[in-house]
Amino acid sequence: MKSFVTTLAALALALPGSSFAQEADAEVPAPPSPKEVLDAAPADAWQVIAPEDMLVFQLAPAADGSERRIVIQLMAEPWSQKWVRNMRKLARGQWWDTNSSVYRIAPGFVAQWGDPDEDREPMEGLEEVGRADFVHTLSKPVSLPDPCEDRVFDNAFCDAYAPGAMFIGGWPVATDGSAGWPLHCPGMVGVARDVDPATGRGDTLYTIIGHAPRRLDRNLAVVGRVVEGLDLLRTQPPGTGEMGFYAEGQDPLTIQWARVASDLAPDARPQYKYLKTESDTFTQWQAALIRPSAFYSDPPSDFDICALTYPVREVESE
Amino acid sequence: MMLRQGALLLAALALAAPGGAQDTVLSPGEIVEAAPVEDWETIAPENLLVMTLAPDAQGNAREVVIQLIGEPFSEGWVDNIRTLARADYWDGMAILRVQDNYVVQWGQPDPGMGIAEKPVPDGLKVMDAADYEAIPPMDLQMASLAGFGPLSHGREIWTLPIGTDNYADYVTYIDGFPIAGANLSFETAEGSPESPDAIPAKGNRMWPVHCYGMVGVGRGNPPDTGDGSQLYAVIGHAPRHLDRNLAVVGRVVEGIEHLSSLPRGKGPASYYEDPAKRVPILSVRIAADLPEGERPRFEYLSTDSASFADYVDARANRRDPFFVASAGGADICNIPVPVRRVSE
Repeated sequence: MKSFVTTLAALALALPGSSFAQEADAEVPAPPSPKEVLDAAPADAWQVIAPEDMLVFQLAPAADGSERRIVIQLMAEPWSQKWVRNMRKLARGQWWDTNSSVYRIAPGFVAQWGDPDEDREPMEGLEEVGRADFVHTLSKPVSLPDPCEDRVFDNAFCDAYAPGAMFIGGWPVATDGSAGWPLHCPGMVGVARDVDPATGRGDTLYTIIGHAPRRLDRNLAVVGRVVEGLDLLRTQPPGTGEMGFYAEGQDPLTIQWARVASDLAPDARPQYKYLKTESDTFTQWQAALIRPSAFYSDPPSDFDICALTYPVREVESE
Repeated sequence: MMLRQGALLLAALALAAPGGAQDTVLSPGEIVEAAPVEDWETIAPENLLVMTLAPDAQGNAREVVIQLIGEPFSEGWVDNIRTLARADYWDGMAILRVQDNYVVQWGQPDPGMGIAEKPVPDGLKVMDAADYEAIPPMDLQMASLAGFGPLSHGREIWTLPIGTDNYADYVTYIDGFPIAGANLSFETAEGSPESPDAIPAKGNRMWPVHCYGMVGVGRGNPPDTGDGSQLYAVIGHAPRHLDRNLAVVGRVVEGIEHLSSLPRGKGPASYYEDPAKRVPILSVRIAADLPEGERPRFEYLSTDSASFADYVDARANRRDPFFVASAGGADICNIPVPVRRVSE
């Protein structure tokens, strides 16, 4: 199990081999809940997200005049980087300042945004994409121990869709030993496309608002996750058209503009951090998830990877 | 499918493209559409719960229809729910809690919500934690003892590939509901399956699964198991850690969007602190108690049918034109049992 984690991490990403303790100390008198573990995490257990790695979508204000926005953390290297570069380019070219809205809400599935008319000329200078880009081919194939054999709950997940899954640098990914790919978990953001897999360069996006539709893995580019505004998308009126698209007469949620956070004034930038996967806190957090509590006398000894909402928090202002 | 809107037509054309019959690849949805009528099971009106919420801000009606699970699962709670509905128990109550990516909860308030408890009718059954589980039918026990084969077609009992469920030894479907189970085993304190005294010391149980849309019974801390007066529906990624910790009593077959898109509560555990946010429940009725003309009618694709086996296979092995890679597997909550309204 441990070798699964370190081998993949080392070979695929050239990350330093990290140690993953198998279990937290079981002798702690009053074991903390998962939330308490995160609340007590030392500052260095968190990684602040660089402003260059966040996209801000400014939405039309709410009925009461309050501001609304969606903030996306862009996917880290080496995953889906052509789309990620395209997404920065689209934001910097003010692509989203024109005729953009959230125009599909399919409950239990996805929220989708872009140009509802889909009749604009694609922005020039975007990188070409193809089906090969949905995965990252490992520099050298690795042979993986089967995480389903040893059902210890750690960062090597038995998975129904791949020989193994894990968090790397805070992102849920899977591998078959020759390639790795990011996963369609709740809140993850993907790039919509037509039937031709070479279409869809980053100007139409969706996020998962229901149960993880993992069948989409390797079929569409996963380019990030929503770190703010997911509840807003989940509570939009469902589309009454086919497949949850907004029907004639339904008002889509207008997107006024989108920017890379680093292009906003410093005080207008969202500030988020994610838990370092290699931190002790991550291990303690997992241990807390499977500990019996007053309410759950019989918790599971395992979870599927998408059942875990990866810890991401707003940076407390000083 | 994650098609862009303009591609809907393209997709339709692609599917309608001429070709030999052997080239025809049906999507899961097309398999369901093509299923013969005899593969559909009518849901008995006694097993349908109709919850009518107050109309939305635009005056649109909001109705949520729930299919109650059948024997041998959660029987005591399901009986209680019928009793409560027939006492008009939930009429005038409200939706009290909406937690993002998790659950919507209604009916009997929790202590601490600042709402008076509503007395329940006499005669409700009292269940214990053992009732969260049931004994699998003999053929399922035998299959679990023998070790299940890979996903196969047309069998009455099949499972997803073994070892791929994170929460149970196996997963299957029984009478239209997703079910998980623990293998039959003969481990005893003495530990020998050959021992004449060997009895199934653990395992050999099955239980319904908390998938999206499933309805369960709220409760206090154990040993309380809930009486059915407080219910919740799953509106996020399947919270399978609730399996065997709370009773699953059914699933929403229509109107989940009236629950999933409600504003999230801002109080502790996402309670609504502002009473104005609590959507009133006008009534909850068993469909069998409604006048015949007002009964909603639903049917589900029989989980014993060949069509269902084909559908599962197609969900786990996507071959329709949009897909360029197929997983060769799926988690049970990504293979929802097809349910449709029967038009008059």
